[in-house]
Amino acid sequence: MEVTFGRIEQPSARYRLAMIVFAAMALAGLSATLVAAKEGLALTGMTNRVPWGLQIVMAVYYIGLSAGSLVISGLYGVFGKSDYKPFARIAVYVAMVFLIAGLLSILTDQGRMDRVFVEPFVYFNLRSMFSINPSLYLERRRTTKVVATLAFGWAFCVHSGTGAIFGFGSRVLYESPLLPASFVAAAMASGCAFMILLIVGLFRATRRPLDADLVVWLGRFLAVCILVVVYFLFMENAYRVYVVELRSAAMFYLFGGFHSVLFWFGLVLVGLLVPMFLLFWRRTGRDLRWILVASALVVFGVLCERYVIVLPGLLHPQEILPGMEIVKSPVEEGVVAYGGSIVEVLQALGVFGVVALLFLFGLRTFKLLPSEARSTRAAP
Amino acid sequence: MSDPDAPPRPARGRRLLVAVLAAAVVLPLAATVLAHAFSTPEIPFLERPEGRCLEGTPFVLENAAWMRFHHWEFLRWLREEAVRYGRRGVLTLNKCRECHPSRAAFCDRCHDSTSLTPDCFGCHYYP
Amino acid sequence: MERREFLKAAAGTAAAAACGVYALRVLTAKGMEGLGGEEPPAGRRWGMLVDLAKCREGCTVCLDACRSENNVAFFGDPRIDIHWIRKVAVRKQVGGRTEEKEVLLLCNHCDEPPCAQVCPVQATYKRHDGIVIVDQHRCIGCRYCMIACPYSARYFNFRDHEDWPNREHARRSHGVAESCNLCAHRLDRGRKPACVEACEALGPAALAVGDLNDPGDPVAKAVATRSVKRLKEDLGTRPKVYYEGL
Ligand code: SF4
Ligand code: SF4
Repeated sequence: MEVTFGRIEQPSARYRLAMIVFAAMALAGLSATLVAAKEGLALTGMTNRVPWGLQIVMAVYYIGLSAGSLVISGLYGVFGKSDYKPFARIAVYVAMVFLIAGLLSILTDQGRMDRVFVEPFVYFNLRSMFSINPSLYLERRRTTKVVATLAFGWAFCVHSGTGAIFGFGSRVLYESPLLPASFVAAAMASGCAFMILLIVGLFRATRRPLDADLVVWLGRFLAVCILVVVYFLFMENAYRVYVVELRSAAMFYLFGGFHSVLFWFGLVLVGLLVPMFLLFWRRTGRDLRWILVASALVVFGVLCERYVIVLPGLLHPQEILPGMEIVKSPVEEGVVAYGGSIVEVLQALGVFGVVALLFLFGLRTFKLLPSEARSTRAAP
Repeated sequence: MSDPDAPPRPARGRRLLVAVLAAAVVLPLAATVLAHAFSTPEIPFLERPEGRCLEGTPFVLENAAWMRFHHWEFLRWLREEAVRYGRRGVLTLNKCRECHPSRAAFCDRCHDSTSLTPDCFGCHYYP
Repeated sequence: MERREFLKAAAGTAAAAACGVYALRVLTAKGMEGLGGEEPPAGRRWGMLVDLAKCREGCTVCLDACRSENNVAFFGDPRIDIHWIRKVAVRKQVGGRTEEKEVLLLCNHCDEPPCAQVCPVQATYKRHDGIVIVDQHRCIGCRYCMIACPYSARYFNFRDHEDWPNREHARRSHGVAESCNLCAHRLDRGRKPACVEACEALGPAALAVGDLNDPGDPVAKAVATRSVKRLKEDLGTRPKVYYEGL
């Protein structure tokens, strides 16, 4: 049967409240950004040795979520799974909104935001992954099958591109040919998990019928994504531990500080193993509540993954003078520490506020919400 | 924009809000534009030292008006030549200072009256 | 339809603006000699030679000269201080014995500079004479170059600073990246970099710059004949700062 799409006609009190909360977050972020733009990035936790921090982590995370959400829309557009047609529109919209979030995170992180709207367009550097990336981001559209396929492939390019920003650097922990691939895998996992949460939440909140089978199938899909992520993570770290030159860096990565805690507990345990168990075990894998729990854990776990991609590579020292140990220096040498400051946290919250506002606004403005989502066949 | 199939929306309050917001943006703009349209622009008097600008160079100026409207392009070109191609001449922002020693009298007056805030003086010394 | 027309108009305006800029360039390109600006001799390739055997222990004359020539920011906070050239003490095992010495570290002006490759707006670039320099008017402060530099030779202006010792030369606002530029403004006018001059005035003359493409140049000769090293040559960045006695 035909699905019809609608928008939210009568905003409820909850909707209004959410708008206000997100607007407040956006305002807080905006003021933090203005202060940082005036006073300089010394207000953030970044230093000369750790020039990228929380905002880049968030940017990478959002861009991953964006690509992942696009995959959900691709279920219908590319793979012809008509059961998932109801979610296609909303997935595309979410992908777009997250893309904006990613670009916004990068933008608010620049030292000279005023120049960002001029210089990159006038003096485009084709050799820099950083500038190739946003132009990849800008080109995504939807609807017909061809375009959907293109968009799908495009998402892959974009995401491999984001991986390559880090992958082609000169730092030991960034230098991994697997990074773009594992990046895409984690992106799909996080996007899928986020869409599960969003879809179930929206259908519940607006009282639309939703067949649990659909979500169960998405849960399966998520489980497979997690498997792939685990595989890449294992390969990457096993390789690093095995190669002699990389061993000390690998040890630093795995057991070297706060990021290792995030790695083992945030990513491996909470973000991957527990959800995988929940999704694969028959009793919980078919229970909507447990699928939701697993999805939430994955969304959190991938955030940790983004952190351990960006930061340990910077905290670990580069060997400037091979074979020598630097004992005294006017700048920070050796292993350094990074702690995000309140300004960065506010900026990150602000970006989230902005995209949540955009999303809610979209629900009222565009016809995104399907009337219902029903499974046409028996449970998988 | 409006969709014929869409059920009518609860519009009154919203339309009012939009109207108020639009007025808040448009009215001040319109007022400024109109105010300028009916006034004679006052070009501030800039300090004029003796002699001609850029005497002894191919750029020697017969009238100051050219410099008044094109100095920024000219400076930007000098900057590109110096910074990016290493072609540094005697003509720099420091050179301007020799004949026009006061930024307040030379640069700021005009920039202020046209609400321009060029980015030069945070990094280049011009008292 | 409307949108298309708007786009057309916008494109037209942009094109016209671009033409204007280039027209200015063409019109004025001839007049540079009269301004005293000369086309720098083609084919130069600046390099630096650091003779660590001559460098005096604990001496900071070149560092201070650089700071006051180029208005390099110093806040007293090692996390954000800027050092275009810095001196580090290193410990090294030589045949079972520990040796301590001091090494000067600065931007190596790589022939294949990763910093310039990654800069999204070409603010960092390699000049025709091999100097790697940041166009401070263009840098957007993304700090990608700092990630890419394998020598940690790049610094970011995290804050504005008040000192302005050399008023004839620019300082930097907060929000841009910078590194040693081999005193390009001095080399272009035929003078030696501030650090080199200061070290020569002091006596040891441990630093020297020269044209590596000129076989008669003392630095080029030293590089060709004596035992010199570059940092992390295995990376393929081909630095142009040579160390003697490393
Ligand atoms: S040393 Fe670093 S900053 Fe200097 S040219 Fe090489 S990569 Fe760039
Ligand atoms: S910080 Fe400036 S110089 Fe460095 S890569 Fe970014 S724009 Fe280029």
